[in-house]
Amino acid sequence: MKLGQKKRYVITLKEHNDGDIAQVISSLAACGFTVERVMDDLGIVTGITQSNNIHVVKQIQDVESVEEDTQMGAQ
Amino acid sequence: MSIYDHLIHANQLDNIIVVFSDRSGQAKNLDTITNCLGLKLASTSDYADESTSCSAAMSDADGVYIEEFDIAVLKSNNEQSSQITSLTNNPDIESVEPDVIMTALSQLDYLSGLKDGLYSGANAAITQMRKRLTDANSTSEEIPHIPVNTKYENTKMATWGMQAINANTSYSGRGIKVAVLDTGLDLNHPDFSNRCLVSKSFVSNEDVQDRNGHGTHCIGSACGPLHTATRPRYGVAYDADIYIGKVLSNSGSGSTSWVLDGMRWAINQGCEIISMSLGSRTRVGQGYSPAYERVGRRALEHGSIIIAAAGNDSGRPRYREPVSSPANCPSIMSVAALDEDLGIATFSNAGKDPQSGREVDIAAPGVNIFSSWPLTGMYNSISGTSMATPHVAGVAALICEKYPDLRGTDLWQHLTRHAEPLPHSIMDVGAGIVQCPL
Repeated sequence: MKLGQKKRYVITLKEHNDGDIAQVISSLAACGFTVERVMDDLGIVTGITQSNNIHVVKQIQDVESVEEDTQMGAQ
Repeated sequence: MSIYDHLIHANQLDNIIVVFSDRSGQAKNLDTITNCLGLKLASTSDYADESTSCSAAMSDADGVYIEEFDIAVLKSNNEQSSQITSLTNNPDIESVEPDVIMTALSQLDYLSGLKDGLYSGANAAITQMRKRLTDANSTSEEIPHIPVNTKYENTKMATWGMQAINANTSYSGRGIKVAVLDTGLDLNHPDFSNRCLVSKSFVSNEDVQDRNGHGTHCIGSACGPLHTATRPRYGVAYDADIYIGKVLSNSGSGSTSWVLDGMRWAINQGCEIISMSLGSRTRVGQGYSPAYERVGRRALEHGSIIIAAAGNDSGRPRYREPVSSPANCPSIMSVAALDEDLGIATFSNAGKDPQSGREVDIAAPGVNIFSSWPLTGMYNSISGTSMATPHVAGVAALICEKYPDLRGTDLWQHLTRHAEPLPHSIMDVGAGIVQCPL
């Protein structure tokens, strides 16, 4: 089975979960998501995983959205 | 003289929109136009085939009556301007207004496109234009009027951008924290030697020192000094505290993770204003980033406003691209760029996504903008919505100084309500050109 390309993602958690982020972090790690940054006050987590793993990440309870980390440029 | 009259006199309008009241029928409405103005209108009911182009329908008549919406679009004619204005006294007519919609849809060929555009945008556009006309009339003593045929130039005293936003006020941004998230600042630049600087780099293996130039330029426009030895004034909030968040590398790019980190830092530092002259291109219908929207909303809740560049992907008049991310988020103010004639910069992106409802919120000078640059050059003139964004950030700082209780959403509303309307589509320039508080 191909693992897919490793990419960096930004995960936004559901609003009500902001105070209890540890469970989500644990679930992310369990499915192979390497957490890099936890912005608990914003309910946002960034990290790296294989692209074909994203459908699993999206199923984790309290995950609102998963976005690929987009390159920003000076305008 | 009202803005409407200015528009007519400046011959800036291609069309006039007449909105009829619900109670009058098509036949009566067509008669009203014919009797009052002697104009012959085509009606959409005459064109069952929706592939008929609007321009074709209008070519044989003096305008088009859109049956579904009880709206008439009239060709503008200077000779009839006074008669058209007199229509506002007719009890069957709700409003007579410049055709902001037709400008936005001028590149659409088909009548169906016109209908869709009107359906999605006409009510909001007309309501906003009506509000602007009301605001402009009722607060004419507070807001200096900008003639639509103005041509600005840099002078020895001030750049054209400072003149266009009326930066010559008694406010300086003193006591206000302005964060500029960009490529950093040239910390050795003499124009910032006496300023309160707080900085942090979120870029791996790079310090705050700007080796690109973009960040130093943006900080200059937002917070540059009142006086320089030999150059015109180029900065708005010349006494504000400057928070430098380096989120773009010296090559001018950065990851969303860095930008989010920088936004979080600026909010937690208590910055009232967060200026972001950065973005990534979007497609029509793409929607906005939930993560950026989350941060934008939290910022407003904490009394901070995030102001971002609308993007430079357009090539007007041939094509207009949608507002970039993260400026396309509802809780982030998006800024379009204007040239010295107060025309829309050819590269400036537009609000084109009817699903998200996103539009450009406001506009500011963004073409041939003179500002600070890393040493060796010291100064440079460049263009972009990046250059427009810090003008808005600087003005926001002055407003914060004048009104200590005005923060977050209230500050947003103040900025847009006191912007000077322009004779362009709100999809292109939003509320108009930002204006400093008097």
